[in-house]
Amino acid sequence: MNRFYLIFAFLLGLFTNNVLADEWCLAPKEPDTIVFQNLIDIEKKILFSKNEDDNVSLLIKKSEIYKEIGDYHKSLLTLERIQFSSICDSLKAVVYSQLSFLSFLTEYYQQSVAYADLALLYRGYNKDFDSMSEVVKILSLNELEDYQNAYLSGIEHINNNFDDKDVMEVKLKEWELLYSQKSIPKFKKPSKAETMSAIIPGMGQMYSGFYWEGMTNLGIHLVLLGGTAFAVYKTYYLTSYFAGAAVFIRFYQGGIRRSEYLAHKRNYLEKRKFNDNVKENILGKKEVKILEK
Amino acid sequence: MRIFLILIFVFSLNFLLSQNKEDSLIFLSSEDSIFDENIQLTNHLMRINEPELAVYQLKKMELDCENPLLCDSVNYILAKTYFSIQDFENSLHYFQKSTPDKSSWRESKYYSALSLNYLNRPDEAFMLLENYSENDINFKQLYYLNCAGTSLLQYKLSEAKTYIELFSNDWYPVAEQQENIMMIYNEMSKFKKKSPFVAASLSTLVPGLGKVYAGRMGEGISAFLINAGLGLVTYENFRKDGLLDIKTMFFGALFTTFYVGNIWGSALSVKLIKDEFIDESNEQILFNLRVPLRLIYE
Repeated sequence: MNRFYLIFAFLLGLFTNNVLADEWCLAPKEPDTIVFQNLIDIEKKILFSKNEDDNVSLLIKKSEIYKEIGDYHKSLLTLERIQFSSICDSLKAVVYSQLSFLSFLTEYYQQSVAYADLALLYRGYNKDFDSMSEVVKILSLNELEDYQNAYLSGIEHINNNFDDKDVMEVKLKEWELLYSQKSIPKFKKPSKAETMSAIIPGMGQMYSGFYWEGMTNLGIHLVLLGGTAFAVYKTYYLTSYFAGAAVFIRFYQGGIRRSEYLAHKRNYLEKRKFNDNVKENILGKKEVKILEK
Repeated sequence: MRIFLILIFVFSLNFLLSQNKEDSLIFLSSEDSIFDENIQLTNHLMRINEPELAVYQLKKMELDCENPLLCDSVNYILAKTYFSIQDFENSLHYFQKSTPDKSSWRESKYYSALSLNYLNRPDEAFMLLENYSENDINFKQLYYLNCAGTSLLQYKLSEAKTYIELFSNDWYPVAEQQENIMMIYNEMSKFKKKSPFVAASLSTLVPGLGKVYAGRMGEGISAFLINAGLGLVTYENFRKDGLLDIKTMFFGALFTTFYVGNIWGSALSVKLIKDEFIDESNEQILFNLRVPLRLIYE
């Protein structure tokens, strides 16, 4: 009984000191402060936790916070800290799926495809995550310009996600139209554009689809050539060489470099047009546009 | 026995109500353990490359800190954390909170000087070092290294030389960097400062020559060819059609523009080349000042 009083007094001192903190009147905190505090609290729990399972769920929670505030890179790095050897298959499916999605958002497309494949190894644990992994894989393959594999992945996605045969057939037909030979972007070769501009100034630009610019370029070259020839005819030899030929050469060289740049630009625009179209289609925002030429 | 227990209880109550928590052994140990935990957490946050969270945590500890000893530790760790994320203004602010009685005093001095150098304030860094005296034989070499480096950052070569002559090159954390500083000093001594006026005058006489003098051979030749070409074209049109002909006036105006531009460009090239050389040297100096502190204190 006496010992009880002693222990009670000792614990009372410790307990009340720790509990009676200055938390009675808190000023409203700014959002960033709350986010930072949440993140720090999670890391504190991770640091002092002895349970690996707890750490995994904490890391997932932290990753979600980063995703909410739009810092996808940090969200990805957080998830990559998870020790996969220690988690069960169903959780692996979820985590790999998230990693794939975050890699796509941070434009690491190769990595995104790899994670999606890993997520799909554990197919069956969660249909929503399977579907997400398939979609992310298709979009990543498109960004990597691997349209053949993206098409095949799309077929697989439709087969896995539509039970109704009629709906599945319609979806398959739409998908085929989307990835038909006419629709898939045909990329221009920058080296070919350069060569064409070297032979006939302006042809490289026209090859890349920039017709007005190509014709203007050709016109300028013709004017300069004509001017040079006229100056020679009028015996203004120095003018013809320095003002005519020299300027012509500068425009000629610049035109070749410009045609290479425009070929790259055309490829980018075509890729974006096709990929954005597929993205809108697969995410259900609009129907398939049939590209008619 | 009852009186004894009551006394124990009253004594505990006294601890609860005590304002000066340093008097209470129980509170000091719990505060210490909380502090240790928070420091572990900060180190963990730095390890996982989350410096913003580490700084936030340390700032919170600074606000909540009541024990002066622990507050000093927090200031020191904050200073080092800010320095590691290259926030030199804040690192300087916290390093300067150190006082001569602290064990981190020497380290704070050198890091403050380095922060000032990184902030492009070498004059203040030099004043800071001048007001500090070093007694330890080995650390004197670190002191000379910092003084020499700071003098070089101020482009005071003769002052730098006085410190370089005191280098012994035998203390391992600073030996290699002392040699490097000596090499940088030699390069800076050899660097011939070119005159923008001379460059402009040369370009007036021969277009492009000023740029060659500045060290830009390719640009000089290009400027010469352009100016020569336009000059010849202007002359040809002047000879055939006279001064008032539109072609003469057009090419004449073009030639004048390029000629004046070439003179201006030559004067500017000298300055640009000098700035490039100084920037490169400064980068090397700062690196060589940073390395010894890393070896000694990290």
